[in-house]
Formats: sequence, structure tokens, C-alpha cells
Amino acid sequence: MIPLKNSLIKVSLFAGIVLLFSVSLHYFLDAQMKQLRYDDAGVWNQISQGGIDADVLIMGSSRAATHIDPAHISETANKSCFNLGMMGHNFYIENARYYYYLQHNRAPQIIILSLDYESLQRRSDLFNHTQFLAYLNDPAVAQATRAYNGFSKYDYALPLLKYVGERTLIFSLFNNYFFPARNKPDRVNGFLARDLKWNADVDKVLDTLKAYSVSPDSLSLAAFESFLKDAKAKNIKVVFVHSPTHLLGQQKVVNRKEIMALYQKYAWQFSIPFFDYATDSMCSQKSYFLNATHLNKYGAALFTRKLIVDLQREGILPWLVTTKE
Amino acid sequence: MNKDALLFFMLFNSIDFAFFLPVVFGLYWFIARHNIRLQNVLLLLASYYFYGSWDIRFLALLAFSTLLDFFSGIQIHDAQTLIRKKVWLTFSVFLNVGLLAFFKYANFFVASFAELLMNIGFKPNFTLLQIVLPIGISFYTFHGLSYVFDVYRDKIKPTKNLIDYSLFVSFFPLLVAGPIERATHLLPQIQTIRVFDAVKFADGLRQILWGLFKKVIIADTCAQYSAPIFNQFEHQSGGALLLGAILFMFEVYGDFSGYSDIALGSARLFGFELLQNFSFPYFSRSIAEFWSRWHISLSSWFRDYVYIPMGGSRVGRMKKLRNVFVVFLLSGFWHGASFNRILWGGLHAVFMLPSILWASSQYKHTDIVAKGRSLPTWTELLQMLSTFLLCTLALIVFRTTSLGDSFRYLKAIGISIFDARIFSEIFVFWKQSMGLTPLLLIVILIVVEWLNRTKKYALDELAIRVPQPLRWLIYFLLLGMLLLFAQRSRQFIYFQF
Repeated sequence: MIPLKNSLIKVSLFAGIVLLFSVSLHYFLDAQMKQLRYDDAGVWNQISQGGIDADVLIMGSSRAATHIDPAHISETANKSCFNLGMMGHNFYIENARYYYYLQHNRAPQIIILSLDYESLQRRSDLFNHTQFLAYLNDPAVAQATRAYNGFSKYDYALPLLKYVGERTLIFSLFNNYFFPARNKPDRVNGFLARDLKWNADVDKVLDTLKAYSVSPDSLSLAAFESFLKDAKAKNIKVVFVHSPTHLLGQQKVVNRKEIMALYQKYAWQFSIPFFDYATDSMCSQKSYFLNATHLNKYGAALFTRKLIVDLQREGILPWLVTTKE
Repeated sequence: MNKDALLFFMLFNSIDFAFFLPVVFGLYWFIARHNIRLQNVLLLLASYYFYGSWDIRFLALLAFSTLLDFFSGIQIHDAQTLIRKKVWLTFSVFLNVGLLAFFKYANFFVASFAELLMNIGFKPNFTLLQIVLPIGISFYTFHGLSYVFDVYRDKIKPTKNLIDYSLFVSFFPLLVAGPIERATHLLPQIQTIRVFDAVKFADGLRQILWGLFKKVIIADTCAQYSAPIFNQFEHQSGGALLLGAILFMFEVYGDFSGYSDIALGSARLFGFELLQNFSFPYFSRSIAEFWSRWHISLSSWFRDYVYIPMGGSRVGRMKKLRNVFVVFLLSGFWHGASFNRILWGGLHAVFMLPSILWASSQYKHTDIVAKGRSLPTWTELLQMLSTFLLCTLALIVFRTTSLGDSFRYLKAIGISIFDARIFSEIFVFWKQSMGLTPLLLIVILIVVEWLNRTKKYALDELAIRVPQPLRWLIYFLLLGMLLLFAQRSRQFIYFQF
């Protein structure tokens, strides 16, 4: 019994040191994550710090984040505006970010909801999962991320485990700690301008990409309906926007008409204005795009102006300043 | 239980296992330490829980296989005539091999037969069966077979205790990927009460840690780079393909020997010594030596139950040649139902030819390379490199999914070597796609293993050689590396066998 007791004391001492170190490192890394100013993690941090209190909120995927510039809206409509667009994600988790936003910020008057063909088709993996690391203890974030193939049940409960294998991130967090100047924001009010051009590689990818169908899933549909009902109950004006997708990209989605009809159905049901730019002249010009689904910096600037004019024309945004075409 | 729960399996490198192991350990040493029956029942229940966490339905198969060999063993022993002994042995072998054939090889035979008919002009209309391969079936079937063979040869008396026998077959550290134990080695340990030994306990934990290092850091990091190369090999340069194959060599070694280390370490925590499965195989100077150091429990199984009964090496040269080919082809087939795996075995048999045809001492390396010296001689170095390269070439056949792919993969490497651009291609690929991390990790592995090649595993006897503060520093360092390099949900390669 004595050898067993002695061995267990030794192991407990060792495990205690490991645990102490793990907990300390866990809190250090979480704290550093919450200081990040770039990437989607930076947007989460801005949201959690509060004080955004935007009048106009832009929601959606990377197409929202890179297509609609809140600064233009603020300038022309004299309304504060913030972009909640999330890279690589669909409505289900964008919705979670929106509710997290409401926990820390005032509800908006207007939501510009950018809808893609894939908005209601939840991806299975938790793309760019590191953005959630600092917020896994938030119930809304935890609930949303659990619906994806990303974190294990232990990541939510045990210290440090969620950082296992994230060596690039860990090094960059230490780097930011020792060299704070390197922690630079890459977005302005959530908007990311991408100064890139359509090149031959994009054509190659398009050539190899087969046409595909989109299937909205039940979780996303339920979240979408619930979101629309809630916005209506809170008297928040929701606007659907389908921003330009290049024609070559549109052709890849076999059932795009069905998907747009589904959005149209919701628009009618909830009396929501729907601005669809699928037939806009921009959609045939590669110079506005960096790939088939994303506008570049110039395309985004032009599109934002177009959108503002259309929103003003419909009386959704006020005509305070004349926009320059 | 939902579908996800059925698909879940408690891997050695999972958090579930990190909870499971201490719980079983605590119950074992605190509740059952004075009672051998309780010790064995507890370990058996833990082992069935461990296996059932993958798919509870296949517990019945495990139980059937156990009962089959348990009763066959008794019948063989009690049989009054040789014929009756043979009948019971045949019955057991037939059912064991039949189960294995059904679950592992049925679709292979059906598909191969269909292909054969098509090649001679028929249009067969077969549908493949939807068969799930039960994890560990190849391992526990071989456990059972070794038991009935040993009882038949009077090497061991059959146990009449079903709990003891069941634990021998299904002891959780070795259940799903070996080492393939022998009743002569493990049963006596099961039948003796285990007393806690602090040295063994510490050694077990150390071996688990080293196994995790090899699996989680070496194997999984190499897999990250080798998998894309193999998956899209048509688009890679010859140099990249050779590099991919070398990385796969370290992946498969880290994966399987890491698993074995965790298995041996876990068993030691409960007072058991399992068979050593790996002994620094990449420091082998010939293929014959390689097979005495790689998956030792399988090699020795085939040696004892196939090779020696066929005459072994105490026959003429041609028969010896036949015996070697039979063993290696069977070994290849054991690794998977495909022509690639059979050819892989066949290639190793071909590589063994020099040691068979010219039974020179230069092919029989039973000692440890460069024993008593820090560095190998140039000859030893060349021998080790050539053995490693031969194994790499064979492993390409093992890893690719068809013989055509194997041929194209090897051809691309051959062309690059012929054009003398292989090294520049390796360098370019390394620089563009990999960086220094995998190279550094492999170098660490090689250096640590080389320095400890006389031990059972690299951290063996660390308690004697290194003072405690430094030892703990090494452990913290290894845990730190696990934090940085571990990846989510990586399977063990040998589970598929």
C-alpha cells in the first residue's frame, strides 16, 4: 500500500503542476484572444466590448463582410452602421453572432441581411473555429458551435484543451503579447476591403468546379424563421439583399431559382423588401470581382453605393447626402 | 443510444481514454488489489466496456470467438485420440478463419471473382455485402488461434476458468491493435495475483507518454503532409513522391509503435508485461533484421504457427524459399484484403532472398547496431539506409489503392532519379510545402531512439539514468509538445487491420 500511496502522491504532484500550468495558460490565451484586433476573432472582440450600438447592422457571410461597406452607409445616411459578416459561414452561426451582439449592444433599427445561395445550408465543419475560442463559455456561442463538427464536449469544459494543436495561433498570441504593435485591425466596422483581382487561377478553379445543388437544412430554416419573427416582434426592419455573384458563379448553382424563390417566399411572408442583384450589370464584369462569388474592393465600393441608393429610394435609409455615382 | 454514439470509439489518444484509464486503475488497485478473481473480473468488464464503446453489437462476436476457443481448447486437451484432437483443432481453426474471412475478406473475394469472370468474357451481376469490419478482429482471432495451437501442441494446459481466458483474449490494452499475445506468456500472468509495483507503474506512465509522442506528434504531423501527396500523387514531382513515401514510413512507424507503447505502458500499470512489438526497426541493417524488429508479435506468430510447421529453415533451399513467400504473402493478406497488401508482402519476401539464397552472416544481424559506439560505421549506415529505402518502396505499394497507382507512383520516382533531378525536387517541395517542422520532429525521433537503441523503448530506464528534476523537465517538454502538435480526431492506422 505504501508504494501505491507514494506513487499516487508523486503523480498527483506532477498532475497538480500540469493543471496549474494549464489553467494559467488557458486564461492567458483567452485574455490574448480577447485582445485580437484582426480576423473574425477581432470582430467578436469588438462585439463583446460593446458600444457599437449600430443603427444599421449588416449580417451575412464573407460576401456581407466584403461587399457592403458600413462607412459609406454611415456617411450617406447619417446612421451608425456595423458589419457582422462572417467568413466562410452560413446563416445558422451568423444568427448566433447576431444574438451575441444583442447581449452586448443596443438592438439595431435596420438589419441588412445578405443572402447567398448557401445561406440556409449549414456546413458540417466549424470553419475558422479559432474565432470562437475565447467565447466558448458563452451559452449562445456554445449552443451554436455544438451543431458543428468542431469542438469536442471536453473543449467546453476542461482547461486548455481547446488550444491543443493550435500552435500557430498560440505563437501569434505570444507574439502579440510581446509586440502589441503587430496586433493591427484588418477591418473597419467589420468590413474587409480586398484589393485583389480576378486571375487565371480563378478561371482554373471554376473550370474544375462542378455544378452543384444547395439543400437548406432544418436547423438553418428554423433559426431563420425564428430570427425573422423575433426581428418583427422587436420592430427591427429587416432587408434581404442578394449581392452580385458573377454569372459564371451563378451558373454553378443548379437550383438557384428555387433558392431565390424560397427567400422570396419569406420576404412576402414577413413583408421584407428583397433586393436581388443577380441580374445587375456588375455580374458580367470580372473587373469587379476577385472570384466568382466575391467582389473586390472596387466592386464592393460600387455595389455599396448602388445599395444605398436603392435603400434610399425605398425609404429604408434617409436621403441626407447625395451619393456620387 | 444514437448513431453517433455507435460510431464513437475510445482511442488511446483521446480524452475519453484519459478518463477511462485512471478510473479502471483506481478500482483495480483500491478495490480489487487483494483478490485475483476480482482483479480479472474488473479488467474483463473494463475491456468489454472499452470494446463496446465502439459498437456494442460486436461484443457478441468477441464473446463468440472467446467461447469457441475456450471450449475448443478444453476439448483438444481432453480428447483421447489424435484424430479427435485434430477434429477439434480443425473445427476451431475453420470457424476462426471463417469469421475473419467473412468480415474481412468476403467482399475482396467476391469482387476479385467478378473481375476474373469479366476478364474471360462473362458479365457477372454480384452485389458487394455491406459488411462492417469489426475493430481488432484480426488481432483477437490470432490470440485465439495461438491458444488452440499451443494447447494442441501441449505447450500449455487449457484454462478451465472462462474469466481468465476471456481476459487473455480481450484485455483492453491489446484488444484492438495488439501486440498479438501468446497464452504461454500472458495467461500465467493473468492467473497470478498482481501486486502494485511503483517502478513498473512509473515505467508504464513513461511508455504511455513516449507512445503519445510518437503517435500524436510524429505520426500525425507526418500524416498531415504525406496524405495530400498520396491522395493527389498524379500532380506531384518524383521528388515529392519519394518524400511523401518517407514521411509515410515515419507516420506508420509512429502510429503503430506509438500505439504499442501506449498498450504496453497501460498494461504495465495493472502489473502486466506484454510482448515487445517494436525494437527500433529503422536501425535494421537487412530486411531479415527489420522483420525481427517490426511488429514482432505478428512476425513471431507467423514464424511459430506457419513457417516452422512448414519446415522453417531446416529444409532445402527451395522449400525454405517457398516457406518465406507463404509467410510474407499471408502477412500481406492479413494487413488487408487487397492485391496491394499481398504484393507488399511479396516484395518483402523478394527482399529477403539474399539472406535465404546466400545464408551469409552479413544478413543475419542479431546484435544491436553499433553497440558500444556512438555512431555507426559507413557500412552500417549504408546497410541501414538501403534497408530503409527498400521498406519505403514496398510501403508505397502498401499505401496506394491499386496496383496501377503503385506502378505510376514508383515510375514517377524512377523517372526523377533517372533524370537526376530527384534531390532538387525534394528540396523545392520541402521548401514550398512543408517547412522545417516535420524534419525537426523526425530528427528528434531518430536521435532520441538512436541514443536509446539498447533499451526496450526510448525512455526506458530513464529513472536510473536521469535525475528527477531533469526527468520531470523532459515530461513537461513532451506534454508541451503534445499541446502544440496534437490534432483533432486522428485514427490509428492499424485499427483497419
